[in-house]
Amino acid sequence: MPMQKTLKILGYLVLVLIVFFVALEIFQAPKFEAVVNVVDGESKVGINPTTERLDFGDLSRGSTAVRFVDLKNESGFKTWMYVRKTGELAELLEVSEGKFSLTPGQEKRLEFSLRIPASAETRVYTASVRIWRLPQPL
Amino acid sequence: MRKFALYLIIIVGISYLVPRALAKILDTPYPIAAVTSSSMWPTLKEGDLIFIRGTRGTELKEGEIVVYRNEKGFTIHRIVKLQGDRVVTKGDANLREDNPVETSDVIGKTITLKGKPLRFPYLGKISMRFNKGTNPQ
Repeated sequence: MPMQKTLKILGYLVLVLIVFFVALEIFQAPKFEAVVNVVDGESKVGINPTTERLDFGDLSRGSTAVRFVDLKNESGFKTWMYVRKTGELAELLEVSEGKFSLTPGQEKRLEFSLRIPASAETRVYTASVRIWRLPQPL
Repeated sequence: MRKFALYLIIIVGISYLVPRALAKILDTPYPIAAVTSSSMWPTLKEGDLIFIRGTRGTELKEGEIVVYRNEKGFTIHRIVKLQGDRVVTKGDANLREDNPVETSDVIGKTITLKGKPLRFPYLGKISMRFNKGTNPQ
């Protein structure tokens, strides 16, 4: 009986640890702010002042711009990655791969491309991009 | 077991009857469509489910969103010009107009509610999974 109780407690502990770890990974997921300023005119492309942000600068309607995010799996586990985009700009932002796995030490370059449609208003559009990571045991 | 058979009959009945009833009510063989591209952004978004009313006997007007048949399948775009028996359309998000199409190729108009197309976000994605290549662009 005490053995069963100990196993039960251990089971709960493992479960709590898994939930805690998953929650931690979700909340600590790398986050990038994507921003673009839609301007009047044709073929106007601004400069990208930083690489930490997915800053597409000034773009006019019909223009396309690409930004990159480099990822490296620095954990000792094979990791499942999921790219989640939210916000107004998310609908216009295309990512080269949304779901993939990385083995330990593996690197990957994600390509974010943005095309400004003719129906966009001349103003700033933003989105939030999060990259969720979860260890893949099998 | 009898309950299961009854549920099955109801589900099959609904799946079979609803599209046929809608086709009859809306006067088109294609009463429901999924939006598969962003060419009408932000009016219609990729993954939206929309309803189409047949255009037989109705007049087409500039500014209306129509569905027409073309070599790629179906397209949902806005009418920008009427040229006799032909219509010129354009996706709101596109910079260029489409090639003119015969009015006979227009199969319907989007159903609107308070001047805006009636759309059900994300529901079209289900249809897109089952009908790859047949949904409007």
